[in-house]
Amino acid sequence: MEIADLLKKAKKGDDHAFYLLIKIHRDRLLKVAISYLKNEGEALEALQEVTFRAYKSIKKVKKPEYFSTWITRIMLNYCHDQAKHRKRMTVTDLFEEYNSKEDYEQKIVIEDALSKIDDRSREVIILKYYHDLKIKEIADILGSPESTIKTWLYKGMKSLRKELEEGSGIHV
Amino acid sequence: MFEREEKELAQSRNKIEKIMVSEELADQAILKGIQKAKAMQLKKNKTRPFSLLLSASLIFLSFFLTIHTSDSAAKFFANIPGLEQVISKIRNDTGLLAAAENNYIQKIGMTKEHTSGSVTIDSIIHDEKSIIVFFTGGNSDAVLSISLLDDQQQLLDAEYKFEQTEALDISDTLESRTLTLTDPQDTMPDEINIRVEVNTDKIEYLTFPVTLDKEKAAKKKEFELNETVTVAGQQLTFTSIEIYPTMTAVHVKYPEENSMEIFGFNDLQLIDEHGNVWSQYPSEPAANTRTKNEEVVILESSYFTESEKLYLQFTSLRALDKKETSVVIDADKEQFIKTPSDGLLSDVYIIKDDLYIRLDTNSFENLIFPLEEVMGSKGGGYGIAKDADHMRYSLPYNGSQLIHLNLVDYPADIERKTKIEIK
Repeated sequence: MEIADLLKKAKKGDDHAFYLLIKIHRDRLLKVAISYLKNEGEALEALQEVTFRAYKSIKKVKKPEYFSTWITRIMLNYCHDQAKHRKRMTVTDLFEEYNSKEDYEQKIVIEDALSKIDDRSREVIILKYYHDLKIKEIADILGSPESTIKTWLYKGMKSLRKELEEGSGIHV
Repeated sequence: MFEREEKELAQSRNKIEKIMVSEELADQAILKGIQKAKAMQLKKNKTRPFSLLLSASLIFLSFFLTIHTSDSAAKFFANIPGLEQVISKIRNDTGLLAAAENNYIQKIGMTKEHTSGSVTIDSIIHDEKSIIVFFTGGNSDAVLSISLLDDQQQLLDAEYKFEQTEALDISDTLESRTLTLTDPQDTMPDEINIRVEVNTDKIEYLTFPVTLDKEKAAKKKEFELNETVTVAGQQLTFTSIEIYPTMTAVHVKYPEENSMEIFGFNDLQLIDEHGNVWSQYPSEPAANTRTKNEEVVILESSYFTESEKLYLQFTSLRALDKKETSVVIDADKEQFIKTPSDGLLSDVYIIKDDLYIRLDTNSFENLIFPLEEVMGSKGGGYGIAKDADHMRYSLPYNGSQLIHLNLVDYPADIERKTKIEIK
């Protein structure tokens, strides 16, 4: 069944159609969650919460072509909130949760660098490099013009380089 | 312009993609999200006419019932005090659930301390061949591994094959290990010691002496078969079947003369006259014991079900022409020199110490290369990532120019609906 049909039914209260709608987007949503939250348990919790939030406001989605963007944005917002809660946790703690020991140091360099650059740029980098989204899709999800996204991306990559150069001094 | 950063991001992405999330748990999370929203909506709508409310909850209920009917037995047994966790862990395994129903779980409840925490052996299920140990590790940092000793503290020759149980709840702390005696002649002694190796920054051993309750073990049921079937010109002989309370072992031989290498069954199962089905465990190569032309396929146990008729059936096998099972890669050019002719292996590239191989299917999650051949000197780095239309295998790259790999599994099927009468 097409997304348009499912959305129509889901808006009328068809739970199974709604379930299928989320299920179609399941892997994408989980990938976003994992790239922010870094473990299975929290990603599953995120998926549950995003399903909950989406169910409550499904009627707000006017056009089927916006559904994917809309639900991804809900997931991003959730991950942001979670990230704020966890600010006090150090990057190292985060990695101990999921990282295999052999890749430990290298991983910290890139992830540590990512965590230090500004929020918007990090988001654009994650969406582009972890999720293969096009600049246009990122612009839709973040609700900003493509030119702005490109600026953030460029700025972010420059900051990332700076952080990596500083970071590599520590790990040599 | 940002090559280094892009490379590092690609690697980091690959690591993250290796964090596999269980599809089943993900679907449950979606259902829970709907359930929660629904519950809240119902609360809000309290003032609405009763009939509306009722129809909403009925639709909801029927929707959930269709998904969870198989859980009803598990729910019933979950009321046995002290065994809730174990039952919830085995609830998807028809055979183990029947073992529990027949009171074949032996409660142990023994806790021992180590320097940085404790380990509790909660309970066991055993038969003459295997033991499933359910335990919790108090300290999550410790890596626990389990072995079996006899009453003289001599190591029993047992191997860890696969996991029959699964974590169904995010907060599930109960772990389990299935250990099976390696030698077909060996049987489980009455007195054993379960030894837990606790690996933190040092290694400590905790030993739990256990007397196996004979009442809770049972003799295997054995059937000689020696039935040969031909699928796509390939012969396979089912030699025998052993049914234990914990599992069913199907012995199969693949004659050397076959032109194809048979990697495994997609859907081997036992079925009885009432339509009860006992299935294969998720088809990891590690699940089955395999020597060159022989395999023991493990299915769920039908031990406790009294069936008059029992059949073994399957529709397809994974197999590839023996000439096609080796893969050769030119690392310098990042190109394949030899691959199976179907072209599913479509891309190979190297980033730093990792070799990436693309397989153009998204529905095959088995390892296709043998673990022992591709484990790097650094001790790891073999991973699979699932993308929208392909799988990506990453292996440690040792720097050599020519890489030879032998396929141990591959998504190529040969089919023939086959049903063999066992009794």
